[in-house]
Amino acid sequence: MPENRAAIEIDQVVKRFGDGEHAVVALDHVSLSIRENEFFTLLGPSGCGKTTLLRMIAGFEDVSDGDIRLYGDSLTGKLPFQRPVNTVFQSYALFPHLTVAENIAFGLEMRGVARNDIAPRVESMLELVKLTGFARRRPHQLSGGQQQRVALARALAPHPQVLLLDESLSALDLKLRKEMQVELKRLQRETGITFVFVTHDQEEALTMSDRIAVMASGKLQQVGRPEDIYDRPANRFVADFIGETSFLSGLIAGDQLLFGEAGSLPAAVLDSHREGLAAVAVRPERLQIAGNGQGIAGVVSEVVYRGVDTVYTVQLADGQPCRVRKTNSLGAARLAEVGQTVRLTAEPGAFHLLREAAHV
Amino acid sequence: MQASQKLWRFRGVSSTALFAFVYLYLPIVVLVALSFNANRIATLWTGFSLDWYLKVMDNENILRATRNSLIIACGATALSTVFATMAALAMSGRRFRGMAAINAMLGLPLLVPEIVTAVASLLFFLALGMELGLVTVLIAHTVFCIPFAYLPIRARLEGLDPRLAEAAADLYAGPFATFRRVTLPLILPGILSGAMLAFIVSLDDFVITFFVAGAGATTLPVYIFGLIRMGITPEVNAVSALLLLVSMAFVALSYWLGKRQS
Repeated sequence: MPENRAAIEIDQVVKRFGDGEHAVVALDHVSLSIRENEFFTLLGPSGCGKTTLLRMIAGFEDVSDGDIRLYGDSLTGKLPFQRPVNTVFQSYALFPHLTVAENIAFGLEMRGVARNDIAPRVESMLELVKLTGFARRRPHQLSGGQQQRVALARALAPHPQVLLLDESLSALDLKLRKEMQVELKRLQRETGITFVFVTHDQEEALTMSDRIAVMASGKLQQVGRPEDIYDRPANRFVADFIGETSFLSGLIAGDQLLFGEAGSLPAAVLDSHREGLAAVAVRPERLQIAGNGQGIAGVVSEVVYRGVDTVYTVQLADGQPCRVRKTNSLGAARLAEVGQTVRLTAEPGAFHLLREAAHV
Repeated sequence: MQASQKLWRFRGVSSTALFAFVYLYLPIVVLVALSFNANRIATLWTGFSLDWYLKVMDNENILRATRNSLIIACGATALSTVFATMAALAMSGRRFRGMAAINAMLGLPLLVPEIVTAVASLLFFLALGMELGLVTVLIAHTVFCIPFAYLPIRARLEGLDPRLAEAAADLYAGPFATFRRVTLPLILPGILSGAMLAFIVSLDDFVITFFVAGAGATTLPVYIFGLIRMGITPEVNAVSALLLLVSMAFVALSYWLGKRQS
């Protein structure tokens, strides 16, 4: 697939709140490029700067340093109403005094779309978000999920070059959120508009995104496809934040990965190679559990049944805890009980060698 | 909470409440009742009559005073509401140095003894060499009406989600379009209740008006005061009852508007 051209380029962007010594740096030289037609997610814990970055693209916050470009044109100095991007707010921010149709028509009217063209456009937007027949309702007469759809329709109606979504699903309950995840993906495909989505929910990010930018304390940690980020996290933070991970320290010596008294695994379980003390990360589902034989030894300290799968916490013989997850098949017995001694093995490449030195 | 612990079930609550209501409203009820009294002596009931209302309608002085009151109240309401709206908009949505001080100054006229404002206004107009009349009353009323109009508007703006204005800007509305299409319709109930409050306050004012009104700018309260000096007549009762009716209508309207929006 040929790489699409960049829709948004974020170039060494810095955001400082306050001034002088008391300035708080919310974004610290962030650079990234969002491609046309891409579902791009800014992911990170609260306070990481992701929403600030989104608000800077929309024009609600000034850029302290650096530049943001939309199809090559600098957005610096442009006010929100001069930028061809639209936002879906976390709280939806629907105009309470206007009907659903009037809300959706707002951006079209402001853009000077001819009156005769507005009504059919509103109608087709309502159809797109599956709210046909709700045109004359007021926002307070709608459920949270319906308000969400109106907010989407309102932001998509003027056909923005980029759609910005600020934690847009976080107010919905789990079931509705899952539905909307699929829905958003469909809307993005059907409209062909570049989506920039902000969330703190890593699962949501993995589910929907073409690419993800992981952020922490104002700094960009990693940008990549969901698979890249999950399988090859750039650092400990990313490995920890995305999915479940056990962090272990071991010693790489020749073709062996040694875990002290627990024994060793062949170095081939690592995804890259480096001699000496090493920090490694391993996903619980990438480990196998065996009663005896090869692998590293440990004692099962906890077994948690979660329906789809069972999670075993194993205390390795050298004292490090490690988790193993097994999908449950129908009627299958538990692989181990608490207190039982087990051995763990892994497929080649299952252990991700972290760049940083071993942690103690 | 158990039913027996609810406040209204405590011994004496209902009788205290009853006493309070009687204390508040009995004089007004008596006044209204006596305005329908047929007897010339206001405190002696002899029978029902609408004569005094007819007399009021016939009295040219009362009509002139009413007209003055309405002109001043409408003018002061319009001016003070515009000023108050501008002040409230300037004070909302951002923080700046000295904000608390300015906020306090906007509310201070509510706390300054009216007689002080009255004397100060009189001195001010005299120092400027202005002739006392409708204009001076209008100016004075506009000034003391501003805080009354300001408070409900400010409260309404405080309750307004700042994201709404952002959403409008995001949807290509410039500052003026954002104000006209989003902010103004949403704070309109606040503006209306501020305006009504200003109207009532202006209509009722006696002290300041008494000081800064020259001959020919007599308002209804000032005229009533003049009548009373010659003794309380049923005519005074009738005018007061009419004034009460207007006030109540406005309060009810303001309440209804507030209710409809929330």
